[in-house]
Amino acid sequence: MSEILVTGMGIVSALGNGKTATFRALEAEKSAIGNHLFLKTSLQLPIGEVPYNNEELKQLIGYPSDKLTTRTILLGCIALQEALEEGKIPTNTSKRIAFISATTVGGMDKVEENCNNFLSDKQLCKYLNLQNCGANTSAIAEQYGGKFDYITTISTACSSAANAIILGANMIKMDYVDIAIVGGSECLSKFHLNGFNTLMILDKNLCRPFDANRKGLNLGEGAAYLLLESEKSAKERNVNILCKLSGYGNACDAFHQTASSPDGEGPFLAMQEALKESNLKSEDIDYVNAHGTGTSNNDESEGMALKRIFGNKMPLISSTKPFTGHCTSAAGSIESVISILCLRNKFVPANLHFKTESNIGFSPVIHNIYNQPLQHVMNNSFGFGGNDSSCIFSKY
Amino acid sequence: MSVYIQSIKQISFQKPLCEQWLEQAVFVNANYNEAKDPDFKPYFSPIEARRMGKLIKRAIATSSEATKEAGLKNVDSIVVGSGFGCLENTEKFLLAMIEQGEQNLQPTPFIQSTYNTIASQIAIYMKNHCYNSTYSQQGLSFESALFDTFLQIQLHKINNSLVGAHEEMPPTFFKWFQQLGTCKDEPIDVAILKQGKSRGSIFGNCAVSMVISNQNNDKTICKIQSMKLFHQPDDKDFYKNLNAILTEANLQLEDISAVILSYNGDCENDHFCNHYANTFFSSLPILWYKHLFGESLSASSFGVYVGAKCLQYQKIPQHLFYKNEQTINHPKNILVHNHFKNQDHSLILLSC
Repeated sequence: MSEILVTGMGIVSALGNGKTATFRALEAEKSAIGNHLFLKTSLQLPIGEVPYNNEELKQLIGYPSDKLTTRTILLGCIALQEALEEGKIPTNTSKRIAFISATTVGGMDKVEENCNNFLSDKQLCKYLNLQNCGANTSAIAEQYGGKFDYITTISTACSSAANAIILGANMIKMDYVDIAIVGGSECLSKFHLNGFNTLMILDKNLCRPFDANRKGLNLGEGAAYLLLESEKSAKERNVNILCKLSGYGNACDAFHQTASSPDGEGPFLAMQEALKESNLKSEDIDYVNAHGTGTSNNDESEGMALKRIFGNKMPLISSTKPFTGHCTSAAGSIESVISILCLRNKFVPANLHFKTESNIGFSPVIHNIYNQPLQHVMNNSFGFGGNDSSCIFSKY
Repeated sequence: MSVYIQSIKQISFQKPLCEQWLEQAVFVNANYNEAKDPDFKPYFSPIEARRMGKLIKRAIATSSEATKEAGLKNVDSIVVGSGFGCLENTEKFLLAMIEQGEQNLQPTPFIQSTYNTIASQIAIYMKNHCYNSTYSQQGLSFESALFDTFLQIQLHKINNSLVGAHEEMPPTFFKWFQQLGTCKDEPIDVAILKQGKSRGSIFGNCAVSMVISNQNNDKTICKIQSMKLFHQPDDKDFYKNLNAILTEANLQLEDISAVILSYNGDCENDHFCNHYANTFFSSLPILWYKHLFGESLSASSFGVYVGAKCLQYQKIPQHLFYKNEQTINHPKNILVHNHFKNQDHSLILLSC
């Protein structure tokens, strides 16, 4: 079967706008999580905000200033534009393209800000049209200027963007499309910041994934898209090939709506499936960009699953969420882009703030590693409801 | 690779978990109708039932019945489409957060507010660790979920899949949608709804679960010949997709017994339905179903349900005809078209 290749990427997160800014921020080993600037919340919790307000985001991409929009849409447009530019996709291409985006928050930021006035102001009430996930995807798709052949939205909480990658790859395999632009976009909202807060899984300080004294996660926001493309199409277009997607798996923990199983069954099955699909052995994996949220429960469950997969031959492992915050539905694509940057730059980013090994029994990478040969990297994305997915990217 | 519908179960404002609407449909004079729920006791303990929202109960009841009717103990995949997800709990958490100024909030409504709560609760109920996903693409959420299953079967990754479509409409969101104009202001009689002269439709809850399989056996209701999902078509694109779906099934347009369209009584929507009916299907009987099941972002799942049941029972009741009514003794092929604001489109061809 022909390979699924990655021929373009776009990313925006608290680390900055674009791949170059993202990589520089990773090299600097400095977290972008801090006090909130733009989100109008009374909660005093560290978050990873994209460092631009909505007006500045609009200016970055020339978005019509008077058009009703959401932060999820704006972030998505920025990442999509960068991916399209790198992938050199003209608006009049003859290639069949699917746009598969992930979100859960959608336009909740604008609904929570304006819903008190919905019944008195018909204009403001139109924000309701932008609340649901699909409305955000359709609005992001307009940024392209050309016409996508198929558009859909995945919403499986924190594994959403990884599942977008999986759907895109399956569509290319079955020759429904030549190119699938896959990923996710998610802005911070009071709704989910408060929601996570009621679950008591937010750290009041900077998160410390896999640390014995970890206290929870920090939320973040952002968007990232990958251009997946069939080998045939990429060669026809003579476009730069970044890497290949060699395998992926999706499984359900089926344990609890918001808790992960202690034996990590869902994460284990997802990683196992990804390895099987890629025809790789566990020892072939050089680096795992872990889901690693920093909650007691996730890291223990993921740690158990990693041990079940890798045994005593653990690869290099780090969670980059201490850099960006947990970007929920966009995390899967943001961290896939980071994983691919690592693969291409022989670089392994630090798991910031890790100090003390926990009973999970392994230590993540504590400081950035340079000139580390990487052939295969794995990215894990696990979500509420036990929606667990894993993707493997390999050198091409 | 052929794909078959093995079972479909629904909860709506028709009699639940059965096809009484074929003979004795409920016609409402309303702009919103709560679903008629079955007895949920067979599915949950009282403690479980207290913790679950109605949408989840309906999703689990229809999933459980569909799996049973398909003769399966479990399935290889669970995929749900939902345009708004668990809106009742979303509303609860949102309003509490605003009224209480981000203080003293309860976690339960948040936990049960995410879109994927539905598919994951079904998985927990069925103890199913298989592929699990959730699609939320406005009026094509259901088709997105069905398409995922189509792909997985074609890729030989699964033999069967439970595909669901679930929506609810809590009171405050209902008022907001009335303000937006997507729901009628006043109750409306079906005959007037059909004229499609004013803005807005009638809302209903949606719970449809079906088992899709690569096996044609004694459980099979009908075959899904093919499905096409496309975006912003002009008439040329529409024709291309229509032609492709017929060609793949080796059929001509005149082999189609009836076309099910997404008429909902909203002039802005029906205007497009009329265009497609007149341009592409002028000689064929046109059916509708939203007068029986109400509008929701997953309502098109009722379109497939209605088409499949007409093929299974080999009859098309008179109350389904929108126009070009004919006596159809043995329906053989039914085409279901859906569109959302003329942006996203689907064509699904069912055959017995």
